[in-house]
Amino acid sequence: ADNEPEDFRLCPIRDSVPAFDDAQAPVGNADIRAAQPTDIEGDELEGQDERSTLVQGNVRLQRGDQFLGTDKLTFNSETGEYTAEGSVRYQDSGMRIVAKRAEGNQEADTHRITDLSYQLTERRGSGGADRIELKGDHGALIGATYSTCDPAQRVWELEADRIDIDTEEGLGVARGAKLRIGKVPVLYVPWFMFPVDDRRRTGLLYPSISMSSRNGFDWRQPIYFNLAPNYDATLYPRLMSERGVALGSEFRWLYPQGQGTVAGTFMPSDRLPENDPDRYQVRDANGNLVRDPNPPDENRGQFALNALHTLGSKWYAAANLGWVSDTHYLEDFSNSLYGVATYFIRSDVGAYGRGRNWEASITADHYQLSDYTLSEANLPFDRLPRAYAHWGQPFFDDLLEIGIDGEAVRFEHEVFDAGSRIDIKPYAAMSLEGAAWFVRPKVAWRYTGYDLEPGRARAIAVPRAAAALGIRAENLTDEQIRSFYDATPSRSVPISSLDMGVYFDRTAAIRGERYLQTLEPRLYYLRVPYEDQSDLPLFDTSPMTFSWGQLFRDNRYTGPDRQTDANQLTVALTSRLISEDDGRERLAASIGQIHYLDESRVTLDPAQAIAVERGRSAWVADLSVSPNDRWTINAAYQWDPKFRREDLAALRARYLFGDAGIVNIGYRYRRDLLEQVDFSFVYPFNRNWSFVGRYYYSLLERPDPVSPIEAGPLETIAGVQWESCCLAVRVLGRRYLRDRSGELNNSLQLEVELKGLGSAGQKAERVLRRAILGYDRDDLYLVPPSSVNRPGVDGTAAPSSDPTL
Amino acid sequence: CGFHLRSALSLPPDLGPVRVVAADRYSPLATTLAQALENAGAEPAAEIAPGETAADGVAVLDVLSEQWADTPVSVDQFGRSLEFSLRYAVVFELRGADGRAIVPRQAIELSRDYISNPVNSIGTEGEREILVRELRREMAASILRRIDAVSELAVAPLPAVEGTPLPPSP
Amino acid sequence: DARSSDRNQPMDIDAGATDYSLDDRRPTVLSGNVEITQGTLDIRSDRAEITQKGGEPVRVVLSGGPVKLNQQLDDGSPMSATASKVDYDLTTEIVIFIGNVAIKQPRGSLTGERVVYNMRTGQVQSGGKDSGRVKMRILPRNAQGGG
Repeated sequence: ADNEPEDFRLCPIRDSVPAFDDAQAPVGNADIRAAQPTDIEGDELEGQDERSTLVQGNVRLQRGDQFLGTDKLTFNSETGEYTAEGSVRYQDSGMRIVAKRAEGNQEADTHRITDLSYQLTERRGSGGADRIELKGDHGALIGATYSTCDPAQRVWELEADRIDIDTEEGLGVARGAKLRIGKVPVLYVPWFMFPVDDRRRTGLLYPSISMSSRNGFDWRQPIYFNLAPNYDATLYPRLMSERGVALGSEFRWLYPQGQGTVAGTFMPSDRLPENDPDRYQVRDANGNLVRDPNPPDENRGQFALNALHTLGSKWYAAANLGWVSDTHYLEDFSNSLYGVATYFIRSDVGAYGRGRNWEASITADHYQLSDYTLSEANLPFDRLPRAYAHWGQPFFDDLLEIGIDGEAVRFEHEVFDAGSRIDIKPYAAMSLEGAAWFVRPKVAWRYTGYDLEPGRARAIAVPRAAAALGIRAENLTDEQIRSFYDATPSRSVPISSLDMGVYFDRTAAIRGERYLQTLEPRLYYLRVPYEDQSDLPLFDTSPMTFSWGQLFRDNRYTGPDRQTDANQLTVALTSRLISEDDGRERLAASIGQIHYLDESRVTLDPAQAIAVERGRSAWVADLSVSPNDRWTINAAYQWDPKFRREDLAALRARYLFGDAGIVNIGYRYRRDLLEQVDFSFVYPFNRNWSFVGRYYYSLLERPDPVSPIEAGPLETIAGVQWESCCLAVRVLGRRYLRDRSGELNNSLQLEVELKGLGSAGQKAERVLRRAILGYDRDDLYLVPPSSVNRPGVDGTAAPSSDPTL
Repeated sequence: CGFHLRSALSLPPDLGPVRVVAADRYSPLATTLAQALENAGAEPAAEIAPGETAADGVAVLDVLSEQWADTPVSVDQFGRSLEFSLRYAVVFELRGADGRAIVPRQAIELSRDYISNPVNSIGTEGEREILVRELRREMAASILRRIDAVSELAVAPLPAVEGTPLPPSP
Repeated sequence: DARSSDRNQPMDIDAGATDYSLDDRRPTVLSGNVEITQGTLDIRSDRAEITQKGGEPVRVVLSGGPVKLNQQLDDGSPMSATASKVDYDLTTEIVIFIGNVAIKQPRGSLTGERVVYNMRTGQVQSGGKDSGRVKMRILPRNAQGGG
């Protein structure tokens, strides 16, 4: 539970107990008071030598950080006893008090003030009390009220039989507390602790309270343990009235060589399966859906570990482990669309090294299924281990580079037999460059060899034999299969490519602003001879998403299991408008196409005999425009001339207004895959009211008998936030795809945030940040994020480690 | 139509030695940028041990923050993510030896979309790794383009521009 | 409170010049750094006017800049006072200090424009109607040793 500092900017400057202008600045604290002299000043003084002295008329008493102003002060300097009557004003480093009467003992530093109103000075918080008993830096308010609201507009107030405030510890404890919003008592809390200043300290953080049909009353009370300057922990006991109790925990550590977080959640027994049995369905023997006889209702949990350790200036080790107890866990415990969208959890651990001309890593990764609509068969292969190395030695000051890319992997899979693979690609590349042109020829030789487990080799041999001999697979004889059986297939093929480009510039002035306009034609020729690869397995290879980048890659597939054959020429053109006063790229437009001089025949599935690519590829066009700092527009379009149809049409526009307003508009169409619109906005109407909304709708229609797809909303959000000096109320209505049955879930979230006391209700911000890109400006990277996050380990952003959200 | 072959990647005239500093000490972007600046004729400044801040008045290309985000951009009708957008954002600035900002602090955000088919996602990780490498090269190139554009202004006199007449200055 | 034993000690007065008067109606005037001692009581001033009644001094008015008064209190701790004018009424034993009065005791110090000190009861009264603010400082317990 991240507790960002409260935002009190909307509060008037006026305090409920205004500062005393005749008081000295409350410097120092309770400990050093005893050593300070006591100065008393008044209009009139009468003393019976030391026993009892009476001072009258605008009396002021000062000692260290304490100040006491009163009309009449009687005190005994021997014992230190004093009483003050009439417009009593008291101030110390923790608080300011205005009252009718006060008495106490300076020596013992105890004070009792009656019928008072107080104001915390280090933090916004004020109220009244029948009586306050101060002892050093502890204060006990009896029959007190507390609120951070402006005195004139008491929107909420906490009334307590007793509030103990410890300014040294910076904590307040309210007992028998009644919370009133307006005139309405909303909550009775027998015991409640709240911070009085913002130091990092062991203690309770803000509880988050919410209601939902699935969890019922959901109270999560994070307890923070400041164990040491470089490690701390947080426990998240959680009570869900409909389901039971769960305990989340998170431990963070930091040390000179690295840092890490380990987090986990455990729920001994969960009544959700009992409350909603239809959620858990399995296919019985003959394939129809029936209730799961033993749904996951015990020992449910989640585990996540992210650690980073530097091994010297060139190497570092990192681990990102994740685990969930069952495939329904993410759906049952997550509350946002994107929490539900992931279907497997990837864990990886490895050592990564990088130097001037080389890069290497030894890693192992494993996938755990976390989506009950899929099965282990859909999981990628685990790579236990994977060694990767790249070395490139430049010669003749970067004119020539000779190097090698190598990878050795041992694959494993829970369902399929696997094997290991080695892929070596020595290359020689020249880069002839002038200021305005570049010619980069590159020749490489790719050797990929396998050592397959018998089951996998046989699984490849059978369909090849059936296809080659025209016999059905079942009636193949072992003899026939053996002729196609090869446990150590390999492929080696030369790859040569030529990348050429020219840069043209000119200065253009548009609406008075000077731009550098570029025109960058580029040619990319790729030549790879055909080699039959139907005897190779498929461990980590599938077609790359066709995109602008694909025009200049030397393989149409993502991994070494397939190396495309090619005799193709890419023709492409890019133009940019770069503003010359700050170098920002205001427009970049590019268009390109591949001309297949020969058909490209290597396919994933050997049975697919037809040629994959011939003639000319789809046109690829990309456009990104940001005329000023408020607008950003990205568009991508692919049109296939062979079939005269669109393959991709995507548009994303983002408009920022004010310092918090944002509008996102998006349209995505991918042939046979999806057609969706996404409109979202945050509209700060004025200082107090702001509206948020999202409309994410799928237009795809496919009347498919087995799994029909109809158009419909994927997520709609409507929300309003009213925020004042001390209270923020967020009401958020959401309909989102809750589960795999495509059924939408309505949830109405009410979040009342008593600033300075804690937010009751699901943290709506977290939901919104995922749904509306840029809800929190950090997500837009416009400025370095408030806390520069951990170095992304080879490109994976550290997942948020809050285990229970 | 006014286009001419690009002149050499020009660096601001009085740049002097440049040191590339990155928040993440293992960032390959910093080494790529350092090499590219060297090729463009900049003199590399002495390496400083990570974590130290040298005050020897050398121009600094400061990569203030690098952020990766791999967010789903579309889901299928079962709520499973179909397409991801790998976003890479860098905030950088180029400060001269006297600390004055030559290229003001700005953010560059690049993104590549890729499909991850829930039923058969064996190629997703491989594609992601390829995209990560491509985005890094593209980021280095776009940072250099911005440095070049700003220094273009510093070097080239205001050429007469045919075609689009300059409106009278306000 | 002032040392009670001082009062029945002999009072000797020393002055640069004495304008002695037997007549009750005209006070005796001493001037030129007057010194009056009585037991532990020691008063210094530029000028002193002593009025008698029936040959007995009933009232001493000291002035000058400033009048200095030192005395040892019952508990042995020293007390020193300065003021621009001191009016000591021997019959009622009330001393009135007037004009940037400063009284120092180990327990603390008192300053003001007008302080009335009843030697017999130890009663101190100061300030009041247009006679300026009274300030008093009580030293913390451990720092009280010093005089």
